[in-house]
Amino acid sequence: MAPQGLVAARPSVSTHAIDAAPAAGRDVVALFDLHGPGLYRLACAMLHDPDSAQDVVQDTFVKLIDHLGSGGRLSNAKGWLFTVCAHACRDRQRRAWRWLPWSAEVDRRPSPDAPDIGDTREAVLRGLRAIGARDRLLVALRAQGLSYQEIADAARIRPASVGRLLARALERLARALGPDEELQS
Amino acid sequence: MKDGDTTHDDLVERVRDTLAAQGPDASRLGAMRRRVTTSASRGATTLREAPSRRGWWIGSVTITAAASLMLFLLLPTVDRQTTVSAAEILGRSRAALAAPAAGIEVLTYDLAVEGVLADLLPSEQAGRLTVEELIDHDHPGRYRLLKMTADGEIVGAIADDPLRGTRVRYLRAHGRGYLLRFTDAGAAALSFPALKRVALQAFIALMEAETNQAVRDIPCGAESCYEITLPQEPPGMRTPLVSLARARAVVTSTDARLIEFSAAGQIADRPFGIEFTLTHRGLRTGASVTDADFDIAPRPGDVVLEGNASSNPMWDVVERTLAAIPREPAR
Repeated sequence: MAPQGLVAARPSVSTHAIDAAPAAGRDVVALFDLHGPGLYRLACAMLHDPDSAQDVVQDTFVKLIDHLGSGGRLSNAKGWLFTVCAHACRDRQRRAWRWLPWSAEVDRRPSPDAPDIGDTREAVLRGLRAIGARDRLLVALRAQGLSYQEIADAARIRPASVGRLLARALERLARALGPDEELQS
Repeated sequence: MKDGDTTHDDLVERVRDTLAAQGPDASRLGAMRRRVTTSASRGATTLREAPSRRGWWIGSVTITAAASLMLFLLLPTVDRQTTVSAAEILGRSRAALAAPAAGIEVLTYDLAVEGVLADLLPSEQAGRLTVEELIDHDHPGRYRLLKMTADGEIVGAIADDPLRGTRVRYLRAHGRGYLLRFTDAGAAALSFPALKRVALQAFIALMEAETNQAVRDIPCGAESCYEITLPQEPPGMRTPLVSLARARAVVTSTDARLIEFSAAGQIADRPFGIEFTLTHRGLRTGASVTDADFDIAPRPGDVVLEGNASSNPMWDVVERTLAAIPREPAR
C-alpha cells in the first residue's frame, strides 16, 4: 500500500534502483566511517578551520552520493574521496584568498584545548600553515596514507613528480619548523 | 633506505600524529555522520511531502506572481546579457591587452602555477605568490617585477631599465638570494610583462575558440564584470600542444580589463594549472618614479654578480653564473 501523504520524487526510477539505493547508502555510510575522519583531518590541515573542514567533508560525501546515484564508477573509493576533498579545499581557499585576507582581528579560530600537550604539535601546525598550499596538500595527503598515484590524482600533478615535490615540501616544512629540525637529506 | 628518507618518514609521522590530534571530536564526527546518513538514505528514491490540496490557490497565486516577475524584471535583464556573447567579451579583452598604454602602470596580482609550468620554476617560486609589476609604458622595456610570498619575502625579481642600461635578475634558491646585475643593456626584444601579456592573450584566444562558454554578470568590487567559464571536461581528449580542460575569466564590462583568469589543461600531454587574480591596478605619473623604482637592491647575505649585458638576457645569466664557478686546476 502506498504511504499516505507521501509521493515518490522520481516515480520513474526502476525497482532495481530502488532496491539498490539502500545498499548504496550503506556503502556511503561505511565509506564515511572508514575515511570521514581522515578527510576531515586533511581539510583541517588545508583550511585551518574546523567548521569549514566539516562542510568540505559533508560536501564530499554529498558529491559521492550524487556520483553513485548517477551510475558513476568507483574503482578506488579512497582516492576518489581524497581527490574530491582536496579540490573542495582548493576551491574554498581560492574564495578565502579572494575575499578574506588574514588579519589577527578577524581570526576567530579556536585555540587548541590543551596547548601544553604539544608544543611540538603546535609547531607542526604552524609549520604547515607557513608552507605553500600545494606543499601542505602533498604532506597532508601523505600523512593520511595515500599512495603516490592517489596523491598525484588528488593534487593534479604527474605521478612521476610526486616523490620529488613531496620531498621538497617536507624540506620546506622542516625549514619552517626551525633550524634545529631541518632535514639533513 | 637513505637517511633523508628516514627523516622524511619521521616528519610525515609527526604530521600524521598532529593531524590525528586535530580530531574530529565525537560530536563533530556524529554531526557529519548524521548528515551523510540522511543524505545517503534519500539516494535515488527521495520522498517528499505531498502538497496540501487546500493550498492549491496559494500555489496558483505564487506561480502567477513568479511569472509576472520573470516577464517584467528578469527577462529584460536576460535580454541585456545576451546582447554580448562570451566570444565577443573575450575578443574585447584580448584587444584590451594588446592596446597601447601610456604612463607608469602599477599592477599587483596573485599568481599560482601548477604542473608543467611549476616544474619550470625553482621550488622557492612554487605555490601562490603575489606579484608586483611596475611598467613604464612611455619607455619600452622599462619595468620591474617582484614575486613575493604571503609574508612579503621576495623570492624572485626582474628589473630592466634601458634608460640607465641596467638589467637585474634576482632569485632565491636553497635559502639564499642571488642578484645578477648587468650594465650597458639595451631594451630586450620581449620583456617579461610583454611575455605575460602574450601568454594571457593566447589563453584567451583558446577560450574564444571553444563553443561551450557560459557568460554571466557578476559584481566585482565597485564595478560590474562578465564571468566567462568553460565547463570542466572529462580527461582523455588529447591535442598536439595545448588544450584546456577548464577555464574561467572575469573581465570588466566597462573597459574589458582581465581581472581574473584561471585555467587547467595540458601542454604537450602534461597537466598544467594557472591562476591569476588582479588585486590592484594604478597609474603613476612619470615624475613620481625614480631610477630606484626600476632597480633591485641586494639584501645582506645575498650573492651579487655583475657583468656586461649582451642582446641575450637569458644567456647572460647563464654565462655570468658559470663564470663565477672557480676553475678546477689543470690535470
